[in-house]
Amino acid sequence: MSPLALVRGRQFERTVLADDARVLGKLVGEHFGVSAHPLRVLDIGAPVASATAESTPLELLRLRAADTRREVDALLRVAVPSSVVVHPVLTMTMPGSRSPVFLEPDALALVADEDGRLVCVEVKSRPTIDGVADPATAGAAARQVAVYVHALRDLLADLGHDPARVSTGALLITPWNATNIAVGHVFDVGKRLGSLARQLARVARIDGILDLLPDGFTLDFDAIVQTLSPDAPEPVRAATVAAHIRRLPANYVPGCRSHCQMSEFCHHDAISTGDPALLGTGVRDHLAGMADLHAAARLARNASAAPPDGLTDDEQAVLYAALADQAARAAVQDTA
Amino acid sequence: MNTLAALRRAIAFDDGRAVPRASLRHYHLTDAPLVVCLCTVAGEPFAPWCLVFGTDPDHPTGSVVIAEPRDRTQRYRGLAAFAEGLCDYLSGHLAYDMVRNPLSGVEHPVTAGAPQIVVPTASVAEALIRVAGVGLRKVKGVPPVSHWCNAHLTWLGQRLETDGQALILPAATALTFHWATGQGVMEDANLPSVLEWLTSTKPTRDGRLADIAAAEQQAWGDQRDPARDHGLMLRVDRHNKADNAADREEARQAIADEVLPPMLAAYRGCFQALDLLRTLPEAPTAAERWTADKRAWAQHAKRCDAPTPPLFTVRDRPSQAVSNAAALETARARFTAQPVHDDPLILAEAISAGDAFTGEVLATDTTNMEIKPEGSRRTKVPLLTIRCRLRPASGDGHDHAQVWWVVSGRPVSGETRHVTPAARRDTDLPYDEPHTVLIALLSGHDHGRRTPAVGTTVTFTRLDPRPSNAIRPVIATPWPFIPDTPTSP
Repeated sequence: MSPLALVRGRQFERTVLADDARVLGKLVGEHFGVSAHPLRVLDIGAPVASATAESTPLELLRLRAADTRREVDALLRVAVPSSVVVHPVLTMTMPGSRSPVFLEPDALALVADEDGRLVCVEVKSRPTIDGVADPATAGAAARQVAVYVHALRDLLADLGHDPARVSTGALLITPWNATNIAVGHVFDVGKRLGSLARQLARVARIDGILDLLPDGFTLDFDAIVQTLSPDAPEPVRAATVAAHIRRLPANYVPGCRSHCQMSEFCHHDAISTGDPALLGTGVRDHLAGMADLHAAARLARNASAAPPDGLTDDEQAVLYAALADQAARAAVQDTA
Repeated sequence: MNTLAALRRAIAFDDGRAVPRASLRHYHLTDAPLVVCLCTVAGEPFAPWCLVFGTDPDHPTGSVVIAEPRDRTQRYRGLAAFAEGLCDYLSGHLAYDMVRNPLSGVEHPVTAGAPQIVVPTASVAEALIRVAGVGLRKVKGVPPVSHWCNAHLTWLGQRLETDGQALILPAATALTFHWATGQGVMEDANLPSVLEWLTSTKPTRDGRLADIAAAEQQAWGDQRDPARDHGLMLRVDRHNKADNAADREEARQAIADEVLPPMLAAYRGCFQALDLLRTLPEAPTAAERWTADKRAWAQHAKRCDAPTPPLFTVRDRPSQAVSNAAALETARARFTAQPVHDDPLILAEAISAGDAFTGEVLATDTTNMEIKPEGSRRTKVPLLTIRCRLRPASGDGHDHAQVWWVVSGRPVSGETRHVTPAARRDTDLPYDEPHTVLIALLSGHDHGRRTPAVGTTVTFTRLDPRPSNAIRPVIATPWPFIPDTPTSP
């Protein structure tokens, strides 16, 4: 993301939450059929009372999570309609992990229908153009909100409330065209919630994954560098860290480059080894039996000579593809 | 993807040089296409915009830098300058005549030619339609030319989804259709690196790969490299905080210095891509698809023959959506099959994918007469016996699978009848599993006069080369388009 986009994202969120979340309350009211004025706003993101100047970011998150837990409980017990919890922190524990993952939805709104249900609100700065929200943004927001709804339902179950009080309908707030005017879209994450639950149910336990690591393996940069003398030059340090990381085999695919910070490292390695996955999963699947891309190219170049015995099925497929290719190129030569 | 496509990429990677995938050009190119380059900033559609466009490789007709698109005056003024250029170019193609079809008696519009807009990548085309097409819809206080620009781009945006169309052509897509590079499919969307795979003049593979890696760092797409945006952000800030016209103009110039050079490079890159594509002779069916493009354009030109621009719906009606989907499906089937029939190099990939098989004609029987299922008289049905190296995937074990003879001229259809193992020959490869296939030719064989000679090598494919028309829906709301019952939030 460009810094320009990040700045814009923060600006727009401030606009939506300004004046006691006036805009947000209006949109919640509009889309969930409640009159949302006056709105009760609880900002968990504001400096936490029990926090001290020395609190680490992690401690702050813990405190905010505890606040969220208390506020949501109070909200649901009293069922004050038209309340909004801004910047709450939810937690989710992955199987086999000791510390929870912290999630930060933009806002939770309590809607006053007969049950008083909770709705997740997500603010995105990609504009709605000509009445249509940016499909990529809407898709990403839906995936994100499904996780929030899942975590929130766990929280409600933990507090002894009915988890179904968290609505699967969520509100996406985006700017309208080039303006700062906010518009809302309601979308349902019910289906995504189901698939998320299935994914989480079969996700590998982290302790099981850790058992697979080589002995003495760490991803702690300082721990790796400490094994060297303090005056080791930069190239030596870099090479040591790289060699250490290479103890884990990489599962590189081109798609990694759009989201992973390590991808350039793996990309570089894939180029030097000629890993078929370098050219995408399609190529990887079709050249599955080949050691590397160079071996495939060699086999193709020698296809017209007497082929060696004992080729595997995959190598035979490459051989016949190469023969078809050569026949075609000969045909083109003939007509030219 | 098929084994040969994967192999060609592997060879390109091994060589550090692109490998031809086609011997003909499968997109029609006009004499003077309009090249349009656009960039925005990653993740933020209303950060500085830059547009460069023109028909002359050395001198772009115009370039527009919109420093703060959120400023309506600036945005509309900038887009109006582009709209002027676009409409100028398109107006040369808007004249049409009504021609009566002598058979049906229906009149339809015909234009002499059609415009062609070339953009660096497919995502630029989409961004262009979003920014200057949809973004100008229903806005007030802009010159009429902007509304016309919106109408044309919205129409082109709809056309963009049709496979094989050449009215709006992403250069990177066209290049990678004709050449296999040694990089991933996603990386193929980057025009500078695709060009470098084709044109790097370094003598060694390492040198060429270094050129390609350097080219990859350039961003000619619709989005800039986010890592470089920090400086740009400061300039935008300076622009927005400037309190007099001179300072603002200076800041605007600073922004232009940052965003304009890559777009000028992209502009030249598009023409370089066009020159590379022009080295290939045009495929026969490319002209046919261009005729379809011209017919579609003529319809649009007729709609534009009005005092105000045509209007487009944001969402299609269900019946409209179905006929659009059917038309897109037909176009895709056509663009999959026609190049296979035209071009031996693409045919080779079809063979590798199992869509076609090739073999030697062992025997022909041109006197065979049969009553076809739909007929009542005995007609000529020539029979061919073909020896293939491997058991063909098409018509594998199934009698009466429809196949088409890959031959120039009128299409010849047939069906496979028996597939039987054949005796090995000394010349066979150790891995060959020879089979004979009996094929009956059913149409296009000119009473048995147009059949392959014994001893020649022929190829049959299951891909139908004939363009067929989209199926029109007969009910108002076909079931896939009936909306779900709205769930209460």
